[in-house]
Amino acid sequence: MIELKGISKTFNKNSANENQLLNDFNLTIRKNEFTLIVGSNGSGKSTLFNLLAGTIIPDSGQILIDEKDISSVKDFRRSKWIARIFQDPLSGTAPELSILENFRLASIRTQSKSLRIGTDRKFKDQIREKIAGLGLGLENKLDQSMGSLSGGQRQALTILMATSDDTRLLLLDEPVAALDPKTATTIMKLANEIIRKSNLTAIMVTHSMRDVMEYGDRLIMLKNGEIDRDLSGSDKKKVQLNDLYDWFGE
Amino acid sequence: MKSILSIFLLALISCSSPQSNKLTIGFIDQLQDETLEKAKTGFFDALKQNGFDSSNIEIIYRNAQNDQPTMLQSLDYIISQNPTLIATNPTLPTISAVQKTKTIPIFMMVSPRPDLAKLTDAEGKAPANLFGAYETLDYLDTALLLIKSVLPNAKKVGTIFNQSEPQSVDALARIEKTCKEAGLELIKMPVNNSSETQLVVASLLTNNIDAFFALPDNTVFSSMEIIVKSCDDKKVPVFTSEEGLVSRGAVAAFGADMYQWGFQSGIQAAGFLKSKSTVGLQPQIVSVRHRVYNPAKASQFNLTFDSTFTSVK
Amino acid sequence: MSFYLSAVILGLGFASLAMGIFISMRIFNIPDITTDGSFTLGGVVAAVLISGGHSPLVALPIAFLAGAIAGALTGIIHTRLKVNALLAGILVMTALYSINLALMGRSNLPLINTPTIFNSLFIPGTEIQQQFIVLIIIISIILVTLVWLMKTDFGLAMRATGNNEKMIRALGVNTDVMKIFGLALANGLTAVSGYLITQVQGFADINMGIGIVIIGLGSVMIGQILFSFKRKETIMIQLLGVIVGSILFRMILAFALSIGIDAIYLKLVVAIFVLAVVSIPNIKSKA
Repeated sequence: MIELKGISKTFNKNSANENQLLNDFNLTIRKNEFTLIVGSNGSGKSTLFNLLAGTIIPDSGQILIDEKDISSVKDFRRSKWIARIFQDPLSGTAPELSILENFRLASIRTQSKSLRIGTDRKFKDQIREKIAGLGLGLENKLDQSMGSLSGGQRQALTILMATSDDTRLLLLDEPVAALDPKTATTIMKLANEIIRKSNLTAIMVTHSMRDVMEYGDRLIMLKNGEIDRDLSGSDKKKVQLNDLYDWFGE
Repeated sequence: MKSILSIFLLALISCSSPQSNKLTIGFIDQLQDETLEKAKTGFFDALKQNGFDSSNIEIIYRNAQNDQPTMLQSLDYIISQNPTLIATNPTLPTISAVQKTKTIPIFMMVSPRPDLAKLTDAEGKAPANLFGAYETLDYLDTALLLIKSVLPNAKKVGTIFNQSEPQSVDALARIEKTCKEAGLELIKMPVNNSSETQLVVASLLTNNIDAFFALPDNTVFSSMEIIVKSCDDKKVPVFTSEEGLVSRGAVAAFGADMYQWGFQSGIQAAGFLKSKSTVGLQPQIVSVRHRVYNPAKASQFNLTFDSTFTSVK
Repeated sequence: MSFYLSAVILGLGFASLAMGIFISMRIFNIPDITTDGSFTLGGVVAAVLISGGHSPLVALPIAFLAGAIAGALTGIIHTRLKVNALLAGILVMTALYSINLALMGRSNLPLINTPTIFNSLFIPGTEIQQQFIVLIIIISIILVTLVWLMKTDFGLAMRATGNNEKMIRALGVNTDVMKIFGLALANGLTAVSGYLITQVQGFADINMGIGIVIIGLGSVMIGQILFSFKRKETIMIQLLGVIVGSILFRMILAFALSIGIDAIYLKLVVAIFVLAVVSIPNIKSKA
């Protein structure tokens, strides 16, 4: 369970650009829930995302994971619980390392990086099986460098990598926005499958109305740093494309 | 790949030894410098005067352009050609050569006495194959004391030095001692390269020095003109231990003549080439030192010099 | 022939430096100029300890450690004090100049009648043969150790730090600490090179490190080009390329010196050679 309690964040304090994006913001994400967050630019969704990831620290309030306060934990340390998928499909993988090596690093995300050689035969077989599940034919290219793959392929692998180690929360920041429509559809489908299969608690920020319609258990709409609408279960299923456009226009 | 192979082949081909009806002489210079060049000229003039020139000797000359790995490889090359002797100019090539060969006779010039360069062993013996001409620090006393004899009321002497040059640091220590004994106050400032000279000298001159002393230092050599101009502006005469600097603006000097230094080493080398034996040969202290003065500068500062001084233009 | 063997020996002596530069520049993407100072530091440590009567074998790890500390210092200044990497390197290099002078007590320290690592290991043969064999052994040990390191989880994290810092931070690595370690390793290797070269040339000199980073870079570049035709560029291949590059660099210079090219033009010669090696595959593919 992920909780944000009384979060406030102001940018450029005491200057002409002072902007309080979030003020006493509260939100609880339930376990195994796939939550989608939408909102126009400046609504606070990126700030929310970065606060969860730890690249921004709140001015006041708490962030808790399974009742543990991680508000002041640095970003690279939050990787113990949190995995991130970035919008740039190239930023989730190291291009000069091979697919196998990338997966090795992902599989020890929550552990210390020791002097053992982890890319042995046993590990390679495990990863081959795992990647074969994507159906993209990449399981035969384990020793190839990540850089030789397309953006879509790399993003797909990034999402799969996110399930490699104990993940309490998966953050997806517009994961397919930079891909062409066909690839975007394929990758989003894959992402959803992976999330469901591994029962992950996931939060995805998106601009795609179609994805909002098709995926997720819960829809949160942000406006001016506040939760404007919060729909779950059957309420969310009832949402139509027109409704979304209307709400955005309000 | 092919290009690399062909280069290797070329290298192998050129690896042949020279035809040996001529004597081979190696000469290694550390850098390009007009003052040091005089020593080289003197060396080869001495050889020529003794009947050794391009008709009967093969000269292998390499200049390391102040790059240490290049100096090592230049020496490697020279040694691979089995020279009868190697001449080294100035200190660093001497040290490098001594470490590279224990058999080929080395004739040094513009280098310090072996123990001053830390080239002697635990018993104080210099390398057996080291010959040529060296300088100690004694002449510096005479040079420095020129100031007292010409300017009896002088109290403060200023100088700059580059800490990375061994002979410079040693020279500084020596003149510090001499100044103390002569009752002169020495104001010294370090400089790292010739681009810093102007600033450092300007700073030095704010101390109201009565004279500037230019000691044997490559950085001083290369920025002499700047030193002279700055000192002229503040009406401070420049004295030195290096004769070559007098024609470049110093008032007077007592020191080794670079050309004669190389010449002396050359004479010893010529003797060796004739006798083909190093028996009885030893490194020698530089024998020719001049008192010189610059008449134009002397009149600028209203100073007179007696007949023991040679005038230099 | 021994003339070219001397060049190979120098190439092997500088190979550790080239590998150090490979680590800082190609693996970590940090332009590090501490090199000029840490190379000299390694040489100074060697000269001071050996002429002080200590065993060359003892001086080796100390030289490495000294270089590593210098590199770590650059890393700390860069990551913690947020100073630009180039500037951090220059600062440490400048400080090292004074430290090196102070350690030696003078600007040049010859090793007279002292043991060296080459004659302390009971290797038979002439001086040159001993140097060659011992250098091969040392460089091989360094090569194998580095290849192993790069295969470990820690090594993967190192490589990812230079390749995609954002990603590896999200995967739990403190990239600041990683960079400090990387610079420490790189400069430790550089200092080992200084240690070796001091014993090859028989003295340490305060100016021995001037321009050395260019030599390392040139070696890395030559190595990169040489082995780029291999489809699978493993770390082993890349490092071998660097070592060969270092040796080739010295051989080209040796050749140029032997035909009498003035040293002024030597750097030009190297540039032309590198250009030739680079353009030949391009010309071939156009034909």
